[in-house]
Amino acid sequence: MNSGAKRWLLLAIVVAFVTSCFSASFNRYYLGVAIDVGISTIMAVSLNLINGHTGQFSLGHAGFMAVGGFTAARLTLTLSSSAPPDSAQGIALFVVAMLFGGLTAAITGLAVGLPSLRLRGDYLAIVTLGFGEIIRVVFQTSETFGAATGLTGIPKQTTLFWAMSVAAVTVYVVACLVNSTYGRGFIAVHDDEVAASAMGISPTRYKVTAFVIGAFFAGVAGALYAHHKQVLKPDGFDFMKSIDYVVMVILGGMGRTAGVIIAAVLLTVLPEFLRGFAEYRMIIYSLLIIALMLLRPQGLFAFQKKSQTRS
Amino acid sequence: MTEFFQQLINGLALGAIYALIALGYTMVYGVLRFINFAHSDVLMLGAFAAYFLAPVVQSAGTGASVFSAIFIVVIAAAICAVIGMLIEFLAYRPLRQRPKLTVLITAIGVSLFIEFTGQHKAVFGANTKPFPKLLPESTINFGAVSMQSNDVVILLFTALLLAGLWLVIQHTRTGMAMRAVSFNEKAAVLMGVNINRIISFTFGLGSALAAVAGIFYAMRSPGIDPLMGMKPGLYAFVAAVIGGIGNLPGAALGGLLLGLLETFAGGIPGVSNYRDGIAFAILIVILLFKPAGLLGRIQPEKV
Amino acid sequence: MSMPLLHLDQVTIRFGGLTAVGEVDLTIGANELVGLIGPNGAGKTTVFNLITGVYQPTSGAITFNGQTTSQLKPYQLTKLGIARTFQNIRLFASLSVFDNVRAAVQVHRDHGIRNALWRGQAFRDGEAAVEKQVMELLEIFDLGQFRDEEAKSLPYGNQRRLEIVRALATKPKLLLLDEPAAGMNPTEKAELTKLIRFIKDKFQIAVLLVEHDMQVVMGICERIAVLDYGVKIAEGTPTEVRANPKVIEAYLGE
Repeated sequence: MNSGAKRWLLLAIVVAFVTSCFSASFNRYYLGVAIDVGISTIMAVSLNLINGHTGQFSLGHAGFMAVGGFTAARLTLTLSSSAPPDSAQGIALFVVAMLFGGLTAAITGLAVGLPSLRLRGDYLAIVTLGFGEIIRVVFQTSETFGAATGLTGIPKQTTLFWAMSVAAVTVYVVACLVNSTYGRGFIAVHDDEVAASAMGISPTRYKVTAFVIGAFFAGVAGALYAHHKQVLKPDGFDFMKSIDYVVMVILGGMGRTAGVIIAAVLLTVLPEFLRGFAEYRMIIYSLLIIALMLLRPQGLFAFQKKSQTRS
Repeated sequence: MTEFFQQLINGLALGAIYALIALGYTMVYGVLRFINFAHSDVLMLGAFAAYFLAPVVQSAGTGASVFSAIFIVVIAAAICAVIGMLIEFLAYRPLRQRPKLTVLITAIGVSLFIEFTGQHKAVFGANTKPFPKLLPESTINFGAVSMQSNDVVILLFTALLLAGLWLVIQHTRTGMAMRAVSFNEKAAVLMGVNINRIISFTFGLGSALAAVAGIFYAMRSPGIDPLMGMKPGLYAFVAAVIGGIGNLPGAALGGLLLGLLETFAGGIPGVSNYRDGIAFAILIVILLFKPAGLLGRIQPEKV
Repeated sequence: MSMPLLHLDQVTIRFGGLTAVGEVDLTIGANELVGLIGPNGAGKTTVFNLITGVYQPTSGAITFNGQTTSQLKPYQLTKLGIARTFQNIRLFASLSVFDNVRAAVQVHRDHGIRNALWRGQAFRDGEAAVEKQVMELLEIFDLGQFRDEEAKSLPYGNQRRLEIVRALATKPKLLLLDEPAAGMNPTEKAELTKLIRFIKDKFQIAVLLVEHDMQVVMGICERIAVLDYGVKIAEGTPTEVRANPKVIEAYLGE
């Protein structure tokens, strides 16, 4: 696992690059769905670090996505006249915008996490929900970010390559972090904060770390989303969107990275298949959540024990 | 000054509605320790029950009168009580021993189910419908202050319901059992409390209050639609947490606070846009300084 | 006794109006085995929580290894060398036996994130060293065969033992054991007695033992302090304590 991990990451990026080279010949619709899948994977896997591995129930992940998306899009919109989308400068600007979006989201994550992670369980869920809503309201009223109409005309920069590569990096970071002596601390905090503290593990530090890293990737996902859809509306980042990602994490099995990836893919693709039954789509979706919780609360894809000692 | 009093009545009426909803959240939290996300949809169902009942009842009787209104409210409350108990029985009871998180997600699922089913064209449809007049309306002038008769009715009726609820909780055997369950479930079972019955009753009571609140809310709105419960639901939920979730007087207090806040903040230009944000900001500030809400008690973890 | 390892000086804690622990003095030397006994509710676990930083004393001072511990959080005290077990076992339920111990080894390692992400040679060497260290500890306590089992699936006695191993993995100078014999049968108790003595000698550390079971305490402790209603009523060798009329009164009533 350890020595091979970096090779897997490289391989994934190369595959993403090669596939992306042929993307011009793909059906545009499927290409779009594939990029959606990449973005969902980033969101779900990064949320899994917070909700699954560290056990801090956050209901505000879409808020961090919004922060990353809006700040990144603002940046490219402001500078796009001097860096046209197709040029090398344009691509460089996009990369900078992604990192910028991730960073602003991470800083927001720190600002949200430091005070609120003292709270536990339900209360934490409520406070993160509240923060997510506050973030949305701020964007909704800020003229810089287009107020209620949001931002439009964002250059189309997100390619299959970027979506897949960033997804691969996210999976790598979360998996490597958790599968290490250091990372056992996340799960220890999840299992028993008092005992973790007595073992020299600072619960606050681990929780905030998980929150900041999770928020960073959500921010990058937001940037990818903005430059994929080209339109960004604050309404799109309400707490229902956070719920979507929470459902992916739970469906995949909290704290199980592979399961969460499968769930993210499935739940992004499934609604597309159900387009023909548009009026029943969301009813089926909600029934699915209820049935899942009643029948398989440990997650659909949780076949093996969560913790294995690999080294 | 006149405007202040006008806003005060407005805010209190809205706050009374939030309080009624918040009580449902808080009672369920008291006995089951989880947040019933579907509560906001029960209040929507209450409003729709009244919407369909009103023409039938009013055509049978003498149009919009106090009697027909009471009759409609009571039937709608009864319908919602049954729905609330049904939701608990079908979706939450099988999960009683599971982690709270599982139940919370199920509740979100139930909420989505009701909302999306309601939006289907064969059910209510997604468009807004005008809410029928349940009572003859008039404007009452009290010096320079004029108030809507509906607001006065809402305030009086809510006060009546709160007093009734207090009597039920404090002075009946069932109420005592409810308090026992919320204090210590295991001990309550050992004392012979039929816990399933108490939880069912709690859901019924909370849902009936939500139905009344939904009708009141509809009376003050231009119309009703399947998503109408979301906003008052969210505010009431914030109110319950601010007051200290699980604490009944806290829920009522939080509801009034939020109703007043919304009305007064909405009147200030420039601030009104941030209204939803402010409610949550206050929630967060209160939780950071009083982690169990204004009237809640903190239960420290035993080491 | 040279410089004491742990020193409690007139330590008091009040919860509301209730004085849970009042003006307790207690000293433990390096590599000393001290028992702390007293009837139910005497404040034994509270003393533990004061020493480990779960509570801050209302007044009085605690010094560990020459350093004051006031305002330090539990995890910081663990870094200084205080480890503990819990009255009701608190293992990491979703982690394996091996990982329970591995999580505790983390305390004395730096640059965790960077290493874990880069996965270079230093990381691999570090992880290998950790694994060796964890396995050695598990083998010493006959838990090696269970390394991949879930901690919560172990039998009760082994869970208690694992909790002790996990505490030892933080390389403590002082080990606090909170009622380790609770719920054990006589055979298990006898084994535990041997185990505690073995730990003290093998790791050359001090042990503070809170225990209800008189036989266990009297059998192994060099010195015993007795608490009653939060106040220390006696201290001395097992023989002295046993003969002390105040102790007899506290345990047997009027």
